[in-house]
Amino acid sequence: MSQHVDPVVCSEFRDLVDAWVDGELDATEEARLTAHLASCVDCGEELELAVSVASQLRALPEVDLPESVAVAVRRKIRAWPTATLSELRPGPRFRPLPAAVAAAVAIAAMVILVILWPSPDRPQFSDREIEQAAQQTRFALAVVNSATRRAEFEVKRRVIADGVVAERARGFMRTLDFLDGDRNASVAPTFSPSPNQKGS
Amino acid sequence: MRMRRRDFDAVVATHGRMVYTLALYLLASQGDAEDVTQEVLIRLWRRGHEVAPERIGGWLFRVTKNACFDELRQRRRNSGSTESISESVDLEPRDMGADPERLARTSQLGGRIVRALGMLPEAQRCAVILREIQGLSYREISEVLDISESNVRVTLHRGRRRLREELREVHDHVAAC
Repeated sequence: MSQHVDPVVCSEFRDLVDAWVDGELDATEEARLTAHLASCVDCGEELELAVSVASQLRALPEVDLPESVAVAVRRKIRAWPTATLSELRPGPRFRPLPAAVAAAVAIAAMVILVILWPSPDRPQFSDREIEQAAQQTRFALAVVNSATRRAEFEVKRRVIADGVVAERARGFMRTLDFLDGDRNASVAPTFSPSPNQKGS
Repeated sequence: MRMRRRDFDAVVATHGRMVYTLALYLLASQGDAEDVTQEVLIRLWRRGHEVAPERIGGWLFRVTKNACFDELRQRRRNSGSTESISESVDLEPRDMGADPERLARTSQLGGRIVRALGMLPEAQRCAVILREIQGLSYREISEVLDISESNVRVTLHRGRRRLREELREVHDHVAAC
């Protein structure tokens, strides 16, 4: 006894042919499509094309990673620091001035020094103004001096000893060398800020 | 922090091929595929430790797909021409018999299929590659493309239908030989 199936229009066949090729139709749907094929040459050709395209696609190869790519990646990874500057933290005993703030304070101190350098063309400041500026400059240089000594010790000990030189460490060390060359040896690191000055 | 070197090497050994394959077929250019693959593997080195090991494959597919789509958008902006993969890569179709005549017909179709793939919209192309070449499930493809499974089926269907339209003439010619 033949099974009664609903007729399938060609547009519906084209919508279902991919699922048929993938084996995702249930028995009832397969029977409907098979019955339609018996009377539709165009849909038969569509099925054949769908099977052919699917098999050609599935025959396309996966391609091995080229050795040149692997070599290039390994080279870049070797050059990558295994620790970043932010990971080289001082121990809990220290409360370091952030490097960016220390650098900003040092730059401000140098700008103040340049501005206050005696010149006949520059405006004259009162003794009180000069003393206030000198206090601020001494404080800034004292903080920078203390922070850089501690940072220099930590960076040199851990960065150089560990064989790691991050880009930021190199820049920081260049800053250390610069400050070391220009630092005034008579600056006292024990200067206490005035009550109006904010702490770091 | 970075991925541990031995973990990274293990992931590259396991998944490097699939990253490069997806990039190669999506971009249809060996040079661009190599650049994207490098970029993806460097990103793996920097961020792979944040991904659970069982999810690293899906993560790599998503990152590769996004990098390729960025490259394709850049190409559209530049309106440059792309190197044809079938002209530069020696593709050996899998699972073919030893019949030289059959192999010749297969090679002819294989090159046309790769070119036809390049004519699909990006999402359809990606879905077809992931399903037909790399064997991902609908659920896995939905995670890579960030669409529902039902949308994956629709996208695949549209991609395949368009491929059939592109390849109908070649198929009919080969069948007649």
